[in-house]
Amino acid sequence: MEGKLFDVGFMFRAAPEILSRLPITLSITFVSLFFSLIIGFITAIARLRKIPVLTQIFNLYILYVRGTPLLIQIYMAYYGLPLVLLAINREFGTDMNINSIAPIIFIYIAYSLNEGAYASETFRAAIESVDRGQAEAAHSIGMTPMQAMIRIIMPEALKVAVPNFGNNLLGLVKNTSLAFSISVLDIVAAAQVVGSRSFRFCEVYIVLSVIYWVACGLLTKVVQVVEKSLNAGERGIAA
Amino acid sequence: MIELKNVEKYFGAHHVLRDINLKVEKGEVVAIIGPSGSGKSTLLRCANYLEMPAEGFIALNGRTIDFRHVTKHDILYLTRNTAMVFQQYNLFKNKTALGNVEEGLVVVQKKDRSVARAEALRRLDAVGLTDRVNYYPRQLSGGQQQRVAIARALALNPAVILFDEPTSALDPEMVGEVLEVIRGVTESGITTLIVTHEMNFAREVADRVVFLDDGCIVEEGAPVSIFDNPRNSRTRQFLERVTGGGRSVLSPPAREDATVYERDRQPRAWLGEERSA
Repeated sequence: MEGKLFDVGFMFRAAPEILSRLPITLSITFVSLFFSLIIGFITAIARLRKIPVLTQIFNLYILYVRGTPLLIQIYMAYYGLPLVLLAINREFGTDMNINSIAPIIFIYIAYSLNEGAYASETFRAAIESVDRGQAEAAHSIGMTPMQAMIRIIMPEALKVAVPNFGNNLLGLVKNTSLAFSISVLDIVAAAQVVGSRSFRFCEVYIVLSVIYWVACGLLTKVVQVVEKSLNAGERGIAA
Repeated sequence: MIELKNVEKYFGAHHVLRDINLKVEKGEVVAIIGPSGSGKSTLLRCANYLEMPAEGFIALNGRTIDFRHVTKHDILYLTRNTAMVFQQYNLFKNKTALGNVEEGLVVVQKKDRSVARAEALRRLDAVGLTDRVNYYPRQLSGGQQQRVAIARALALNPAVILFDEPTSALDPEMVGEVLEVIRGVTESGITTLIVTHEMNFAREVADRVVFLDDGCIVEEGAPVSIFDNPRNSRTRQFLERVTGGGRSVLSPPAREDATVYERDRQPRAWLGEERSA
C-alpha cells in the first residue's frame, strides 16, 4: 500500500519537536545582535575618526566579512579559533581545553563578527547622514566630541539607522539557519532529525518556513514600533 | 579681550586667511564685511575652532592659544567662552526651542535642570518666543529659529558672541525681526563679532568695521570712515557693488564652490579628527 504523498497532519505532529529548539535560534539571533551592535558602533566611530592602524584593521575586517560567504566564516571560526587557542597553549604553557567549547560559542562569535560588519556600515552611514551643522552647533556650545556624539548626533543617527537595522535583523534571523552546519541543534537541525526519521522532508521544511516567516513578521512589527517611538517627539506640538 | 594674531589658514592649496591680526576690545561690536569667498566666515569660525588654522595665535580673556599646538582643553576653553549664531541656525532638530536653549546649560555648564529651565525661558522670552517654547525647529519659521539660536547662544553667557551671516538664509520679511534682536544684543554690552552682508545694519550697530578681501584685512576703521570715506580702492569697489553698482554681491564668484568643497574635506575638530600632517 502506498502512503500519502503529502501528510498535512504530520506537520502538526512535527511542529512541537522543531519548536522546542526555537530558543537556540533566538539566542543566536539576540546574542549576536547585542555584540554586533557593540562591534559595529566601535568600528564605525574608529573609522569615522580615522584612527590610524585601527581604521585599516577594521576596514580589512569589513572587507573580509562582506566579501566571503557566511558559511565559510562559520567554518573559519569553528576550525580556526581552536588553532589559535592551541597556539596560545603552546606559547604560554596554558591549558585551555578546546574540546570543552560548545559549538554554539563559535556560532555566537562568527555571527557577531559577521553582523558587526554590517552594523558598522549602518552606523557609519547614519552618523554621516546627520547634518554637519548639528555637530557644529554642539561644538559651538562647548560640548566635548563625546557629549556631542551621545547627546546630539547619535539620537538623530538612530532614526536613520533603525530601519536598516531592521533589515539587518531579518537577515540575521534567516542566517541562523546555517548554524546546524557545525552541529548546533537549532530548529533547522531539529527539522532534519525529524525529516530523516520520517522521510517527510517537504513537510518539515514547510513547518520551518512558517516558523521563520512568523518570527520575521513579529520582528518587523517590533522594529516599526521602535521607529514610531523614535520619531514621536517631532510629530505634533508638545503641550 | 579677544585677539587673533598672525592667523594663516588653507583649504587645500587655497590660501584662505593671510596673516590675520584682529583685536577686539571688551564690549566692542565689530562687523566683518567683504565679498563672498573672502574668508569672513572662516575667520569667524577660527575664533571658536570650528576651523583649524594652520598657524597663528588667539588670545581670549588673558589666555593665549597657539594654533599649532592646540589641546582638547584649549578647544573647550574657546568654545565655552564664545557662542556662535549660524547662517543656517543649526538648532538641534530633535529638541524643542526650550530644549535647545537648555541643552548647553545642563550638559556643558552642569546647571540644575530647574535652574536651566528658568534661565532658558527667560532667554526665549527676551527674543519674543514665550509662546513657542515647546515647538520643534521644523515647526518654526526661519526668523523664529534664528531667534531661538540667539537665545541659545546668549544663555551660555559667553564672553564673545559670533554671528556668521545671521540673516543671509532668511526670507526678506524675516530679516527685520532678527536684526532687531541682534541690535538688542549689541546694545547689551557683550563683545560681538558679526559677519554680515547687511551694510546698513553694520553701519548702525558696529563700533568698528573690518573689510576683508582675498583672505587679508584690507581696511578697518569706524563705520563712518569705511562706508563714507574708504581709502582702499578694493573697499571702494566692493561698496559700490553692494550699495549701488547694480550687480549684487550676493551672487558669489565661481571660486566660492571650490572653497566650500575644500572646507568639507577638512578634518573636523568636533569629531575629534586630527589634522593630517
